Amino acid sequence: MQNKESFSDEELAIRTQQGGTADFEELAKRYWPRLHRFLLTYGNDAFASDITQETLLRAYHKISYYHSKKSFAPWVFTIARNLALNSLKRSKRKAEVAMDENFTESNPEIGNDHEIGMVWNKAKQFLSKTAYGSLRLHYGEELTVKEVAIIMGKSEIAIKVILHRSRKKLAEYFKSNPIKL
Amino acid sequence: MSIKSIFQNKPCNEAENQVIEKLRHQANLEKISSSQSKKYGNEVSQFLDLIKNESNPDRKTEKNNRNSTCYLPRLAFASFSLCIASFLIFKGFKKPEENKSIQDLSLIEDLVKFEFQPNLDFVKNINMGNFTWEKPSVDLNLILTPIADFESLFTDIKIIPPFNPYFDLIQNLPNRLTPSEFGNFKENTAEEIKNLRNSIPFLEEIYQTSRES
Repeated sequence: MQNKESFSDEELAIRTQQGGTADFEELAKRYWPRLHRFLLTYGNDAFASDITQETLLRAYHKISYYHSKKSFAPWVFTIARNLALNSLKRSKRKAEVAMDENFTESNPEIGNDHEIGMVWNKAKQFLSKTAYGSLRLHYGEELTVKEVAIIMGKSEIAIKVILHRSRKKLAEYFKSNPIKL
Repeated sequence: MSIKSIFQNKPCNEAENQVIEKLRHQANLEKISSSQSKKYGNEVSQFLDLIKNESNPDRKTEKNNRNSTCYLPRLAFASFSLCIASFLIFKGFKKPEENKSIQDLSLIEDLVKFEFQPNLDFVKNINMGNFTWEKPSVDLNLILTPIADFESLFTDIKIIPPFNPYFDLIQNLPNRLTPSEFGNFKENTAEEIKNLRNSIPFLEEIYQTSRES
């Protein structure tokens, strides 16, 4: 019998569609940390954990909607982003607290340096959610610009511009505040 | 230079290149640490337990049953709404009762028709008090008259309202009769008609003529 780790994400998703719960377990193991890291874009560690669980649960229930010819990662990351934004909207309505699109250093939801790497932490402080999310998906999760565009609900050109501006902004910051890796 | 780098999604200078390297390097470190992280391990195992419980066939059946009962009140409400909507739409097209005499009905309609002929003066003597009329819920004259007036400001053509099919243009009287609302007249229809025929001279003759034509 073939080891589950040797299957691609897409193969595992198709096998789950055919009724294999064990195959989805492998997908969950692969995607939990990836989704969690991406969802730190929208909130703190607890928020990211909650939405990660909700995302994978939603993906499991709606796996029949997954199109076998398309890549699995954009599909599941899109679910995660939508759930995160909906959750933020709900909490915004409840608390009636205005949340700025741009993170600031005083934002309590920002994870500390132990939660995410220092470079990423600085990126989160200086960039908007969309820019940070795009940067995370492209350079952190190695997704293509096209896949990032699908997930973030923007055109490819828009994502390229966002990535360019983010790189420029971070380069200027690290030029004046050099850090060692 | 900048536009080219945007389209190719490549760094413009060395500083940007270093930023990308740093981002990638730290992302790889995160991946390694997360694969060894106990926190992630616990969360994933809890999630997998949740999925296993959900895929349990007993729970699935119970859930499906609950869902199916949830739809019953919705279905009932939808059907009720549909019935109400149908009733409201088709109320005006109510058919006459089948057991009503067709001849009597036609006579009544003829009488009503005579009433609206301006040249037949004698018909005015007919007591129409027993008839009831279907009244429109909205008088279209109220809507059409201002529109026609406004339009006549810009054209030489005078548009004369009303276009309301419920009203006679000349006498401004309702010209639509609802057979179901004959109420009082229906009870002793034959006798009433006989009385009418006797009370009005030439009515019988006119009625016969109109029948033959």
